Parts: sequence; structure tokens; C-alpha cells
Amino acid sequence: MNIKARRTLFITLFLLPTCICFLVFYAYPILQILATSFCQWDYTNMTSPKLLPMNDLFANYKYIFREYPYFWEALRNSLGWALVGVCIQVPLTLVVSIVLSKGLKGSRFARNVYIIPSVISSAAMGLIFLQLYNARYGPIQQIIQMFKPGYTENILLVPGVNFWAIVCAYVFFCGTTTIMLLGQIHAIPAELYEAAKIDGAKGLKRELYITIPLVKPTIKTVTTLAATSGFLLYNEVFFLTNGAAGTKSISYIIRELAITSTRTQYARANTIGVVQIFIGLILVSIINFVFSLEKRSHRNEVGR
Amino acid sequence: MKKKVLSMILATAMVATMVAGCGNKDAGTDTASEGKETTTETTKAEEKTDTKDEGTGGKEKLTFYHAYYHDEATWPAAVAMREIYQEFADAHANDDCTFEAVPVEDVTELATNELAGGTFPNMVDFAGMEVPLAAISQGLVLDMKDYIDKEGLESKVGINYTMNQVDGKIYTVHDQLTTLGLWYNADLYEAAGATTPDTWTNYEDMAAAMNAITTYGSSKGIYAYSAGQGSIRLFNAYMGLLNKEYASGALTADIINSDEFATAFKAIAAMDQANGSANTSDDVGSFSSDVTSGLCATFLNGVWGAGSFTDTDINMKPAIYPGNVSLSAPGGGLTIAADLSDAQKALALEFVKYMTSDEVQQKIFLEINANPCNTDLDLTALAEGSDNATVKLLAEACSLANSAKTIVSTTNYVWGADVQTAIINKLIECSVSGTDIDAKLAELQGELVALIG
Repeated sequence: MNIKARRTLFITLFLLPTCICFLVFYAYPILQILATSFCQWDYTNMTSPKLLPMNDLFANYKYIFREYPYFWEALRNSLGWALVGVCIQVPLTLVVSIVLSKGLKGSRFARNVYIIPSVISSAAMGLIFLQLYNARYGPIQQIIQMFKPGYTENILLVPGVNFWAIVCAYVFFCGTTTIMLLGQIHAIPAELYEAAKIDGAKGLKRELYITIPLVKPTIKTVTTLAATSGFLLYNEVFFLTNGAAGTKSISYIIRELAITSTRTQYARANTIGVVQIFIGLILVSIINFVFSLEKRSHRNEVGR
Repeated sequence: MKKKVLSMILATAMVATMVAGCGNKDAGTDTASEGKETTTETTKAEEKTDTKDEGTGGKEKLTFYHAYYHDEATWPAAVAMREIYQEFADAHANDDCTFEAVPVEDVTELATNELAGGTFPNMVDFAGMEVPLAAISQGLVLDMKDYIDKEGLESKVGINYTMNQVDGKIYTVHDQLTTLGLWYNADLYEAAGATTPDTWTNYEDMAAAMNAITTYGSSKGIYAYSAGQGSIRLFNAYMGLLNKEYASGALTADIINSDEFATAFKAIAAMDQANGSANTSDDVGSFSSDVTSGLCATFLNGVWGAGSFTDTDINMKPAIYPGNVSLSAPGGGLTIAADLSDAQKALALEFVKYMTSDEVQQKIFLEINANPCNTDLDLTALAEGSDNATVKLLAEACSLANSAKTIVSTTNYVWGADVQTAIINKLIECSVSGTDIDAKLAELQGELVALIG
């Protein structure tokens, strides 16, 4: 065997485990979801999905888009939570990590305290917030009553208000992404800050012109994580409202069709799964596009 | 070139998985979807893999999964149930086929997971939850009707015989019933000047009583009733009062768009709105502490609630729904896999007989404090012979519910969990003041028609 062939074999063998894992744990489920969205797969044939007739191949899609009563509500909410996640979580993560990077007194303690909620499961957080929002005994209700005496409604059942109540149950818990960003900020060479200082960049200018541009790739990652976690929200919805009062999410209705429904409608659930994957890809593409805009304009300027 | 080879491998594998995804694993199992009679019982028994357990010296074993996993401090009844199971296991310890009862936290999930792989556990107690349609549709569970008829167990299995009969087959027998009426705080009702449930002939009477309690208690933190999950029970009972047929069979578009459906929904939604959204929850259990502390005047819970009040000073009394209606259904219970060996099948059926026997059913009433399915028992006489206050209160609640003029099945069981959730959610939404109930009804009707489609 010549060197080139040995090298090829060597590379192939090294790549093989990754390829196998990719196919089994990533490609197969996605393709299975896609394929079964064109099948009849419910309680009548749980172990053998049956391809729909060609003239009715899109029956599941037609049902989901035209008949299923909760799809559009769930899509609207999930996109809303993705957008809110980006608009609140990303700036919050950025500000907190910049503040923590200053190494002020007590910042290590503050960092640890800030991270603790991130290790609590979202299901447990859902239960905690259920108590917080309790209309008879919860502290949030007491606060509302300070400003609006006599208010007795359950805010989790008031349309619109409950959307934001669910937002508050997840949007402030960004300890993991803060740590990611903080690590990147700490990796910025001190010489750069010193040079910036000589050039007169201090305080906010220092962060705007040095820190933020240098951690932009991580901000992009944080943005993607914030958007996808908002888009995939499930536990908070399940525990706080169980989908009542217009709060269903895409993940919630997938479970409704696959598990709660007596008819175990796997194919229809997977059809929503396909839509979820497709929209997830669009969201990630939009984020990539937005973050590449400045790079492109910079390239254009250099080109001129 | 290397890239090309790798791309080819990836593409081939992806296409293969896609084909596999749409493939038909076993053409033979398609019979159910084609609506043909499944005759898998015998064939599957022949194909049965060896279930002999090496740990028991080559003996066969019947594994029974149940949800009584709690310790004594959490729920003493669970320990009593496990003892009942153990007695049966001990009695068959030397047989060719032994019995093992295994407690699991979520029996339905266990069964669902196995169903996804095309199998069913040896034997399961669904504890009132529905038997998954997939199990029945795919012929994975055993029809017990012939055995029940042959052994003369009709009165022992009670309403299981009618309510759990599907196309002449009985796939499940629940040894205790999900029986629901309501519990009311007699002292609070008296203080509020409200009429008591035994005088309610219709839902206007009930609404007037609830208004009286709300007026009396609003400044004291007292409220009329536990709405939400409780509301669907009221709706269920009202539907039964208006048309028992509607509340006992599969949900159809005609039922959804019927006057009875609209009347029942609007009446309960209006009561919920007057009761307030703060007193609403999709889990009736969350009201327990308010009930025992005298804040919730009416607890819309089952007869099993008897045990919650006897240790308190609260004067809770059992009642049934307006118009002499109670809700009672066996739901899913003991369910046996169709593919067992003859020895396992015989033992499983004997276990059903054991669990519905007078002796065990008495224990279920006296020690578990549940409504037994066996209709041969005289619950009042049993309670008289007991010095346990919970048993006496339970007997009172059971006899009221069992002797109601109209006994209706629970909608959860006959209409399905997704429909149940949709109705609860819509009633919950109506509890917010100012909500347009007519508009919510129209929304619900549209949703339900789509859900059953």
C-alpha cells in the first residue's frame, strides 16, 4: 500500500465513527421525521408506517395547515418567544458578561449565583413559576395588587399577559451563555485594551469598539441559542398553562398529537416536526445572514 | 476523489434510512389498519419467545406492572395494594408459572413505549387511565369476555362488563371505580345561607348556591368551588343530565354542535366566571389545602377524597351533581398481553378473578378506601362493621353515587384526553371576567370538530 492510499485509509477510519454517529443519531431521525410525515402512522399501525397514496401524499400537511386548530397559534407563539429570546437574552447576556469581566469585588460570587438557575431543569423552573404566579398566594399577585388593588384575575389565563408571564419564566436564565461570552472576553489580549486606551477609547467606547467586535462570533452563537431555546419552548408552557388561553407552542402541540391524543398521531406530530426543523433552519440562516452583513460591507470597502 | 467517495457513502446511507422510514416492517401487522379482524392471539402465542426465567429454575413468570409504588408515609393505600398482590404471588410461588408484581411510576408510559415497538407488557394495571387504542387496534391485548362469562364473574367485575365492552370484547377490568360526585363544607353552606346539593334539581339551583357563597365569602378569602378540572366534571354531569347517550359514547360532530353541548358549556362557563379565575386549576388536587382549611366550599373530587377530611375539623359531606347525577367509570385496569403462553394466560386470568373476588374487593373498600367494582358487596353493611371514620364517609359517598338516578361515564374515558384538555382549557379561559362565553363556545366547537377529524 502506497503512502497516499494509507493516508486515505487512515483518514477514512478516523472519520468513520463520526460518520456513523452522524447517520444514526442525526441524519436518520431527521430523515425518519421527513419520511413519516408522508405516511399514515397512528394507533392502527404503530410499528409499520404506511406511505400515503400519491394523490394524497400531503394529507398530513393539509390537516396541519388547514384543519388542526392549534398550529397557527403555536407557530405564532414559538416565533414570538424566539424573537423575545433574541431581543432580551442576547443584550442581557452581553451586559452581564461585560460587567462580570471587570473583576469587580464580589463578581465571582455574583457569577456563581447567576449560574445556579441554569443547572435547574426547566420543568422545575416551571413549577417554581407556577407558585410565583399563583393567583391566590403567589408573590407576583401581591405585587400586582399593590398597583392595582382588588385585582383577582389569574394572570396565566389573561391572553397577552400570559405570553409575557411565560417569557419571564425562561428569558432571564442565561448563565450558560454568559459563561461562554465571559470566556471569550477574558481571551481578548490586554494589549488591545491598552492600545485602545492610548487612542482614547475608554468606558462604553472600549466595549463598543473593542470588546463587542472581538466577541461577535460568540454573540452569534448566543443569538442562535436564544432563538432556538425560545422557539422550542415546552416545559414552561406545560407547567404554567398546559396550553390554555392561547399559549400553545410548537413543541407542545407535537406532544399533544403524539402522546396526549388517544389516537397516537405520530405522522401528524412528525409533520409539525418537519415544519419545526424547516423554520429552525430559516431562523439560523437569518442569524447567519445578519451577522455576515457587516463582514460583507467591510469586504466591499476593502475591495474599493 | 475522497470527497466524492464520502459523499456517495453519506448519500446512500441517507436514502437507505429514508426507505427504511417508509418501509413496512411487517406486512402481517397491517391487518388492523385494513379493518380486518385480528387473529393474532393464537398465532402470537405460537411465536412467543421463551419467557422462562432462569432465576426461577426454568419456571415461567408473569410480570405484572402497577402504579402503587408509594411508600407508607406518602400513601399507605399503596402498601396495602402491594400486600394484596404479594398474597397472590405467594400463593403461586410453587406453580409452574410464578407471579411478580412490579411497581412503576408511569404505567401508561411503560405500555406506550412497548407499544411503539409492537409489543405489550405481560400484564398491566392502568389504574383508571385509558387502555391505549393502539394496543386494542393491533390485537396486542387479550379479550377476557369469554373467561368472565364462563366463570360467572359479571357481578364481580360490575360496570366493567358494560362500560369496558368494545364490540363484544372486554380488554380491561379495573378492580376499583373512578366515581365522582362532590364534597361540600356543610358549615360554610349554612353560614352563607346557600341551599345544599341534595336540594339541587338543576344547574340554576347550583349557580344560586355558588353565588350565595361567593357573596358571603369574598371578603374572607372563601370561594365557592374548585373550578378547572372540577368544571369539566360539572360539564360532564350536566351533559349526562341533558342526554346520557351523548356523554356515554364517542364524540361526534353532531354532539359537539348539539343544543345540549352548548347549554352545558355555557352554564358551567358562566358559573366559572362568577367563581373567578383565581380559583381555577387544571389539577383539582391543588385545592386540597384550601378545602381542609375551610376556604373552598365545594370540592369537585371523587369519592376517594373521603380520606382527606376525616382528620380535620371541617364538616365535609358527600353529594352528587344536580338532577341526581353521578359520574362513574372503571377506566382502564388489569390488561393482559395477547401473546402470553397458556400458563401465563391462565395465571393472568386467575389474577383478574382474584382481584374482583369478594375478599379482595372488601379490602379495596376497607383498606384502600376506593369504590370497588364488585356489585355483590354491601358497602353500607361493611361500613357499619368498621370503626374507621373514613370508611363510613366513603360508604356514604359511594352509596350516593352508586344509587344516583343517572350514572354517566367520565368524558375523559369516552372522549379521550386531548378532547378533555381542550374543554378544560376553554372553560378555564372563560373564568376570566369579561370573557365572551358564546365566542369561546364557538371556538371550542371548531377545535373539537377538527380534533376528532
